[in-house]
Amino acid sequence: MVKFLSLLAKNLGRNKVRTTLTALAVLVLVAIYTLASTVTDTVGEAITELSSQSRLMVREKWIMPSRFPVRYLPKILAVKGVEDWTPWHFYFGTLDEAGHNIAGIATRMDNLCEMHSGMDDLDPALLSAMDREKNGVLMGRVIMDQMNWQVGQRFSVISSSHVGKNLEFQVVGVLGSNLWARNFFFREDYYQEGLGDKENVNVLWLRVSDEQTGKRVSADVERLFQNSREKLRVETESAGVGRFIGRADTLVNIINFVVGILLLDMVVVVSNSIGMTVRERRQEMAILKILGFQPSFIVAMVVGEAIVVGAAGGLCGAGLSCLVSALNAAGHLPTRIDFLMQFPIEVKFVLHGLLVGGAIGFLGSVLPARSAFKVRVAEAFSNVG
Amino acid sequence: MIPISYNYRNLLVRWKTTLMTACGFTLVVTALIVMLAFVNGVHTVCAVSGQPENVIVMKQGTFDEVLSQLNDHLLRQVEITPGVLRGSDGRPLCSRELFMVLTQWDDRIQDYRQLQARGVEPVALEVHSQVQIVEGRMFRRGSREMLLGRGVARQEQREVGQKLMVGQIEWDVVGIFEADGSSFESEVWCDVNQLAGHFHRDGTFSSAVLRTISPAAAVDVAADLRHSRAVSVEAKPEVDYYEQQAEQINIIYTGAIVIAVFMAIGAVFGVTNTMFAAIGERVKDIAMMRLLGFGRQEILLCFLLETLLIALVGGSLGSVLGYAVNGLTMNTALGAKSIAFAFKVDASILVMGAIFSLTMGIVGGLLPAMSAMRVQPLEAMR
Repeated sequence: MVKFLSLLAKNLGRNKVRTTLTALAVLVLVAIYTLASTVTDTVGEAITELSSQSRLMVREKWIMPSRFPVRYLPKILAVKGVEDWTPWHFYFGTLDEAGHNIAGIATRMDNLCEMHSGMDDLDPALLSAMDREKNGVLMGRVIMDQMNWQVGQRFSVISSSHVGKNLEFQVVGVLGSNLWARNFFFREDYYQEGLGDKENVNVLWLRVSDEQTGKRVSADVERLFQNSREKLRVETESAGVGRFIGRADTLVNIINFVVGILLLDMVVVVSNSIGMTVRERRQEMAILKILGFQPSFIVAMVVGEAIVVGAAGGLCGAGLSCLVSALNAAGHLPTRIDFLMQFPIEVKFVLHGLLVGGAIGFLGSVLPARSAFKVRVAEAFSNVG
Repeated sequence: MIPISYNYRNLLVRWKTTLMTACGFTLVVTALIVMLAFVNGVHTVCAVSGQPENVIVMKQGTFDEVLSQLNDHLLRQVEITPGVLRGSDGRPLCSRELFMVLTQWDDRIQDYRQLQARGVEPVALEVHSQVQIVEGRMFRRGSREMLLGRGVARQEQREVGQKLMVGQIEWDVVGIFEADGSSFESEVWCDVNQLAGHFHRDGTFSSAVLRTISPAAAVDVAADLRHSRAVSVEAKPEVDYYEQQAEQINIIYTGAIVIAVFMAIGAVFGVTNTMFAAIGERVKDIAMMRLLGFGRQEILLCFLLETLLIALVGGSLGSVLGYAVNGLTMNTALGAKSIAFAFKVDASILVMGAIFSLTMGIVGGLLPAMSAMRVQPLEAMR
């Protein structure tokens, strides 16, 4: 095995320019593949993370954005099976003249972690701070980075949802979850007092024990208000979020298409390079056969070379994109890349890059390996003379 | 100059390598064209949605009509703004509209889907002059009748004479309209009072669209309204409004270029590899050409030309494959709205694909061509 590996290394070193160029091509393509995959992966993760069947979203049946009377709440909460609840009041606006948009959510703080996905590891100290600061907010990290803010930052929102009612806030903590990277959460009582809106709620979240109870509660709540002025619709968090994100299906499909092309491109590049190598070494392969090496050994050598080049390129490509993402997050790049803040490339992609690179190498070597397998001694020496 | 047939024949002799290298170009150009056609399609929808003579009026501070609410009293003041055209009946050409994004159960797919309804008055057809009823007739005021945009009719598979469930009741489809492929074609239009009444939004409008005499007048009317002390509203030329909507798609354009550039770099490494191999096999050829009197520049040009030939073939094939998506209709989210759009491959995109391909060829072929140029004839012939 060691001899085989050493032979592989020597073969790869024989045409350093070709090996380097092939590895570089895979490196660059895997780097962009990693970035594109991160986008689709993040979207998929959002759906998975928000796949709770025991959290129900109650909203106005027909219209977007939803809005219904707070007076509905006692009836809803009295439905058997409802264990906990929290409201959502939307507060949209811009942060500055440059037009940085932001979406705020006013809600209860006492059960914030229990009622929201992605907040499981929220520091309890932040919730205590929210208790102390009436105008405190927990801010998504992308906004913090975009605005170059630190905890303690005071800011005001030029409201577009409540025109003329611009609220002042203070950042008391940063939300680590990708799910809320561009949002902020603040206290419901501050919203109600600041905007004088105590009559309506945009969305109500309910927690139930299990999926079956959820179905029953949904049906009961919808039935309760089927003849009311504002009718309600209740669905699980996973269904609601899945449909919302599903609106971006076309874009995700295009990205998937491009990812497919990227993979194919890598196979073509590797296959071409290994193919050239095989063509140049046909006589050498014929000699190996004469010396008694089995065709399978020659095939293994060709496939092995391709896998090594592919895996090395893939590892470096994914590692590089991961490094750039980390440097970007730490603010060590000359310019902050917002896109990478929203879709940070995680360390797990390094292993992913290695595997993808290896797989590409394998696929790219199929045709050249087949050609190497078929090398005939007489044919290979027919040109010697 | 070395005859081009030399390159052509060499490419044919190494046809497998040539084909594989050209494939790299093909894939990059195809991906680029598909991505740009998507962006172009969405931009086109937004571009034709706004009329330069129109001004859209929304609640102050809002940037999307979905979030806007205006009342009748306010609109009465808005419509008398100087510069607003008047119709044949002497009334201002002001289209009061209630735009709603509805979540509707669909029996066919057994799931909820979005439906965009716009309640309008008959004057809307005068204000939005690109809207043309191509089948059936205009809905009657005060009735549960509606017009379907071409996109909705296609998506819902509905024809004139059939019914469509909106809210809790079925509405009669009395006509189908086209609007130059604009976002209106993704909407259903009905009587504003009927729509408002059904969803308890009586007396509420999302926006008003004012018709002026010229694009310049539209700019003036919008400015007057924004600076008015009598009314507090957000007013902008309709074209600006839809252009701003399309800005969301610009990030995708940037992303498309970034992805294409990275793919191109990968392909450049691939072609460099191929050309180095080609030159390695033909060192004696090069030496012979030098001895025959061909200069270094001619050798450089010869091999660059060979790369460009591969780029041309690959790029052309990529353009043909990319062009296959032209006209393909899909839906995508744009803010709170959903719009039907068609992938649009136009000349500028094809030119961009060609430039991309040829640039890849030049960059990828330059180093190998320079190495060919430096071949020492006597040494190579030994």
